[in-house]
Amino acid sequence: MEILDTEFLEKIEKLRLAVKKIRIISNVGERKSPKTGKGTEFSDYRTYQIGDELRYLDWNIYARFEKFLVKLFEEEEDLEVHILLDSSLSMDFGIPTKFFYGKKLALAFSYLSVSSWEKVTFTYFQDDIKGIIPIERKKENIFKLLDQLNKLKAEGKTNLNEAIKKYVSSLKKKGLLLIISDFLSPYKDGILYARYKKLPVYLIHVISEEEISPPYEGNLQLIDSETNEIINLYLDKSLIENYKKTLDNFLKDIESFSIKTNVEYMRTSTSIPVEDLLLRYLRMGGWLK
Amino acid sequence: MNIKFLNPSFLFLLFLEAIIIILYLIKPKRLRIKVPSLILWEKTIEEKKLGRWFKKLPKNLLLLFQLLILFFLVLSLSKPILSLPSIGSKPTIIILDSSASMASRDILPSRFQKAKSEIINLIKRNPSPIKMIIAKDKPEVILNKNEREIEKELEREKVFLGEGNLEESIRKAESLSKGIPHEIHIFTDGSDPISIPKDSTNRYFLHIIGRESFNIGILDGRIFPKNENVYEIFLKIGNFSQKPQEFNLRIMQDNNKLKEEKIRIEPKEIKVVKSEIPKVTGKIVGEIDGKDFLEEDNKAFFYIPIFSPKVLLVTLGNPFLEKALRSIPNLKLDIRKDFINIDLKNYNFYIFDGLIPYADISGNFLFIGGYPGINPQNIEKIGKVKILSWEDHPITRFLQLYGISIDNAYTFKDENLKPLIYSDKGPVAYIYEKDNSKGIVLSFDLLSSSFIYSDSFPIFIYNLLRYYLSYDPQKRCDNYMDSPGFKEYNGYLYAVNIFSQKESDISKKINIEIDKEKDKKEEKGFIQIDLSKPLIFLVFLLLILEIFFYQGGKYYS
Repeated sequence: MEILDTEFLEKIEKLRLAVKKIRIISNVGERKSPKTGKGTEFSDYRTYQIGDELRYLDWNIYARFEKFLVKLFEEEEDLEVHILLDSSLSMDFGIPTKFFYGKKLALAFSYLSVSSWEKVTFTYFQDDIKGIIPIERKKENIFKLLDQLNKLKAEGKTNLNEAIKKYVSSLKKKGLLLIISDFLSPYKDGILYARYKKLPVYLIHVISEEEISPPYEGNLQLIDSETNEIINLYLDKSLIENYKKTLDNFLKDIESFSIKTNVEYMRTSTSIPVEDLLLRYLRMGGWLK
Repeated sequence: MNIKFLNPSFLFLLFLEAIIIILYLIKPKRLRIKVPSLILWEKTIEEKKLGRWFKKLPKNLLLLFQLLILFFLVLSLSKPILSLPSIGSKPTIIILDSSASMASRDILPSRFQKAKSEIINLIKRNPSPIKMIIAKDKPEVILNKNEREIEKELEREKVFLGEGNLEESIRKAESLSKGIPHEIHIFTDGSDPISIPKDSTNRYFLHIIGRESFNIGILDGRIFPKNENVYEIFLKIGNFSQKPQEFNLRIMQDNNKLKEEKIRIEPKEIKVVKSEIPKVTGKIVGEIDGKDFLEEDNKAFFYIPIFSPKVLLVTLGNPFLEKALRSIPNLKLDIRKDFINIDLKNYNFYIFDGLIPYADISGNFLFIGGYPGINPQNIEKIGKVKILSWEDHPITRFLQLYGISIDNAYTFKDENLKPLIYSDKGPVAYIYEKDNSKGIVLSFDLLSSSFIYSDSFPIFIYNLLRYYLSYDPQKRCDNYMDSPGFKEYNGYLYAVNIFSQKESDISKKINIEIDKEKDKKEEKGFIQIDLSKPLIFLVFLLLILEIFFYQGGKYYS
């Protein structure tokens, strides 16, 4: 299956990440900062105060009203987007697999970020950080990422907490943290750490259809894909109902956690095309504009 | 101890165990499914409360249950019989002598209590079906009771203060055995002689309860009015010990001593003691103060009610009869020569002397020479006869009729008549009971017999009126035969006494040779227990467990 589809890339090219309340300044970038300052786009006026640069005085106003007013401009910021993709074995389920879906999402976000002249760092992790691919602000670099993604395979165990903590603590600059995972390992500590570091966190929870409603019944031996642990059970309708309740509680828990910690959360199923997710759901959710 | 199988062929079904094991070994393996993570599944199962507990159960528990179920089922079908060494193995009938002599206290607390405890011991070590007969005057049978129920019945049982009837009880036991060999255990003190049927298929075991036979007892008693001021009290007292006995005899009325005298009786002697007391009514007690093993017969209880009968005498003239009636204190007598204009409701006793009404009359009566509705074909003339014997009945009590001559007597044959007095040629006096009519029929003319001249005639008339007109306080009162004394029943006061020479003589009189319990103890028997029912119960229990564990543990099986 193709990850990269030029038509798809064209569609998403015009999208931009809508990041709220971000205050990250290093280079003056393309992104508007809530701060007013050294941008090019006029924002407002204010009374001149000693120390203000004279070049920002609006002489036309002075000429008309004899008041010293200083022009204020929207400050444009440089946003670094950190995309973290869970590449553990648990992601290797579903049609398409959650991992494939995650890779496509990661590529899409990378592309639209790069298109917006933003710096992107793609990282994949399992129980630890397994690889970091920085992408400079050139669209051509997307193809390098694509090559890397094509080679990438889901393997190993997940340790979300450790991976996120490690990655966040290694950051020298603040940036947007986008985590794509199935969250089937403890995650709260890692996210809390990221929030402690005042990083805006975006979670994309990928679930496969077989996780939502298991298609099997009867005497089963369930094997954990990551740990190879086994549970023998008799799966009947009543147990499936119980499972669905457990899943529901699990999802509600993530949602409420996200709200409490001011984290953006979007849940998707592998049955929803990535295009639909990006062009419809994420736009509706205010993630993209 | 060994086990026999009545249907051993069923044991071949045990090979099915192997089939279950094979099926278990080759049963299709579980479908192996890889899932992203077991986190959600573990939580799901933990929500089922029993989940964790069932997880700890051995993996092959259900197989074990299945094997056990089949094993016990096959065993049950093969009818296993467990044989345990035991004293008794045959079905058993127990006869408990409940007569008054069993109240003797030569063994404490009493012979009866001792017999009861021995019976309970016997029941406990005898698993066979047990029937029980309580030997009273009529045998009482306790059937279809288990060990516990028989024990409870025994606890309730009290000594019957009358004469027991062991012979009748043995006959009852023979009929209960219905030809199937039984062990018949008789628990008695031996005061009542018994005989065992020679052709009996049953085996008899005699349990003699009692050691010594020291007893002085009042064997009978009666009070008669001697004249208008004096009563005569007759007491028959027996000494059933090996030594002469001296004791005081006291006559009491409502705790007031009326008379006391010293009595001496030789060993095995029976003496009639006559005492005169002032004319009294109410409760009279005669008591002897000798200490013996049977206290129940040391007192005689009498109750003298106020007696005032209204009697109609229909006669052409009988001065002896009139005199006998008039001598009875408080009696109101009306004499008629015909039935014209007589309101029978005014009388409570009727005497028809030679004049017999055609229709039946309700009430109490004495018919002399015939009775209403008599069929001439049932009359047989026997002519001149002499009285030879008479039934033991309250009406004949203290009568001496032997040798009384009758010039012209008849015998009657009627199902309503029961002979009372016998002559050398047949009965001459009958007890008549038909519907509401009760009374005595004499089949001869009083004036043609020497009966009216004898001392017994007024006693006969007195007894007759006492018997029919007043309730007899000395009549047996079955409701209160557990202890002597004054007992109130249906508004009447009864005096309950043992008054039995057979029961007061508490010595052992059995002389027959039957098996003793000692021999029995040496005999080796077996208890046979059918294990099939307990095994079926076990199968059901295991089946329930199997279902329970299957349902509860299927998610972890």
